[in-house]
Amino acid sequence: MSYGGILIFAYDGSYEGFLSTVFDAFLMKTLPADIVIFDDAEPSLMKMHYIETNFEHAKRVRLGIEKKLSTKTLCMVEKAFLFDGEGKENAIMHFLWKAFKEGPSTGGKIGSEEVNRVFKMSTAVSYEAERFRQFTRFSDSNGALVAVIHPKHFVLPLIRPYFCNRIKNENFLIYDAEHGVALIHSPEKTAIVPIESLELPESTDDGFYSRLWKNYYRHIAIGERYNPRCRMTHMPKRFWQYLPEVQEELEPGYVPKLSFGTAKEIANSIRASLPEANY
Amino acid sequence: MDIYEKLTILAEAAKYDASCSSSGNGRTADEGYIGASTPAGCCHSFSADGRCISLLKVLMSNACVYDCKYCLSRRSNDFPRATFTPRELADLTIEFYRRNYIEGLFLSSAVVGTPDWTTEHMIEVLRILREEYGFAGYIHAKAIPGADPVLTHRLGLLADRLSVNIELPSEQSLVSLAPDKTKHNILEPMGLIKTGILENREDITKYRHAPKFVPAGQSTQMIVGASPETDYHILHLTESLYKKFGLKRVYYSAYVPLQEDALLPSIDTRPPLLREHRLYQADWLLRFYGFEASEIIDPKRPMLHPEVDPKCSWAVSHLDDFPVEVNTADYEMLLRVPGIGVKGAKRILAARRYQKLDFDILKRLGVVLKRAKWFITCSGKTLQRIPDTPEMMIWSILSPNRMGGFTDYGMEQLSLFETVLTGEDVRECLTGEF
Ligand code: SF4
Repeated sequence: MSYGGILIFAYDGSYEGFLSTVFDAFLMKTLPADIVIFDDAEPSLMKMHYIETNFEHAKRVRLGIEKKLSTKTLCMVEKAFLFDGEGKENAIMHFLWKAFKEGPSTGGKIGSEEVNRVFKMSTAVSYEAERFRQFTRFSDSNGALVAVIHPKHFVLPLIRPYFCNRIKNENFLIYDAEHGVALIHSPEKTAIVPIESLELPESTDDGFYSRLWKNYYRHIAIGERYNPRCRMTHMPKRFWQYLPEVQEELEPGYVPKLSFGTAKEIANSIRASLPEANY
Repeated sequence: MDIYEKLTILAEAAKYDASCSSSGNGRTADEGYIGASTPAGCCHSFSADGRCISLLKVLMSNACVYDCKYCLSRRSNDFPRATFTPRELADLTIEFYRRNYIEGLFLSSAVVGTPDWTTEHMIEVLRILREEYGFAGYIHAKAIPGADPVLTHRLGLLADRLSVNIELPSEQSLVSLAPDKTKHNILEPMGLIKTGILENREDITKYRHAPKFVPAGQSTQMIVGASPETDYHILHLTESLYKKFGLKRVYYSAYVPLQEDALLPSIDTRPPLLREHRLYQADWLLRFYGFEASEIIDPKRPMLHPEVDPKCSWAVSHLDDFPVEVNTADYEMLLRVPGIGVKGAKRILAARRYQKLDFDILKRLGVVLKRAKWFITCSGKTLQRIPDTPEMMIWSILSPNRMGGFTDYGMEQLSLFETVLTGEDVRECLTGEF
């Protein structure tokens, strides 16, 4: 086995491309000093090894991880690859290097540094995906549902089954503006496609249901239990941009509108807020 | 009256219900229809009081013929009344659902006319959703005490979860505060649902396509602080509800005073949020940590410790069992270490198969040492010397931020909009990592 530190691998940024990189590394018995994407590769004194994406190689690596390591390990690697941040390729490569040397139990050694890094990345991606299952909101435009999101990591592949399951009868689109891709679904077909930019169509239901929802949101809170800090823990502010129910709270000078007090006070505040007077 | 007004009134009337969970069952709609639920559930929003909004939680109607003293919808209150038509409510559920606002519906109702009429009306909402719209999202329905068992059964075939509210922790309180309800007509449907679930389980093993009855199980709720029962009483009641009726969850709802009544706490009483929080923690100990109610609380000191969570409280009075060596302790004992939850204990078990654990590795595993450090050793090493007496222990644990912002139990009154529970407390309570 040759010693790392002499070669830099460059690939196209795709998952298959990365797996091809892994394939080459094992073939060459070389742990690369760094792994970069073609486009961002800076001129360097070190030797560059350019890797062309090879689907056959990628498939073999994927099968190898699943068979020789475990499905759980494959799952962790796949999630970690959706991580959007420096050094993810290196971390995964080092992990796989260790795992193929030490065997199928490696994925469980989350106390070790190499494993822990990949474990943390995959947990961060899962966390982000869960937030977007929770906080993605659609608006209706001529019967089609549209949503725009700005996730930290590339979560569309992870949230795809959730949405395609629950609203499989609908036409919908979720645009990840951060990564320039969209999940597009119709009852017949689903795909994740790159999109440069997207003009969101106007909602055509006149915001009727989002108004109902906002109103519901306001009245379901118990004023006596007001607890913005706890809400913030569960629903951090960076997600508020998607949520119709908290839009007005983002405006400067917002004063909480909560109903609390005695039954009589609540009744009066409801009567005052509703147009009809004849209950 | 339009739907906007109805929703305002009927959300307002439903907000005191604690449960909003969408967990416990998986379903997928048939081709061409809408909806899916996953066993883990999903919170789509959090209201200003920090509670999870997973379901559209509304009453079908608040036009109640009963007169429970603690309730906003009671007959004798002068309050706007509204009733959804089944179609309105079904359509609203679908429209919220497809926009990803909710996971489904939590349908409860005041008693309109008779329990039977009310239940039939609720069945119609669920029938439209399930049969006409093919909706496979989550549905939690309230069974109405006093309704014909045949109707309750039908409701249970359409819902994922049913619940019957036990309302108050004792029969005496029920008699004085909810005069139209009796212990019998609350426990009867609970028993029916339990039997229904057990029989259904057998049917399903025999005939694969038998319709499912209440597949996400049943739950209940009781109001805490409206009546004089102690935590000791409440926790033993909870334990027996889990054991006798196989409940999935018992919810506690801190009493929010709504009216002046000689039988109720005075109108300016603040909702006992800290007490509710401690009860939830104790409830976790019963359900997931292998504790018995009698270990958590004893009749001589019948209220849970306000400043220390119940696990910590147990630990400081069992200092002889500590410190625990994380490299060798069994799962049950790890779970009893304050600060180590189910997730932490499982990670420790997994990681120590491959290497000796030290404090740095524990941190890497995400184990929070703030509490745990007092109670554990790593290969015999401690991070913190264990104080000699329980009192000193409590002092050492609490000193950094005593009180944690809680306001009941006669501490200084904070303004109404001051935080009462910290995010950390609530997270602990939701995840059970404490
Ligand atoms: S039955 Fe009692 S608790 Fe239920 S809505 Fe009527 S008055 Fe309220």
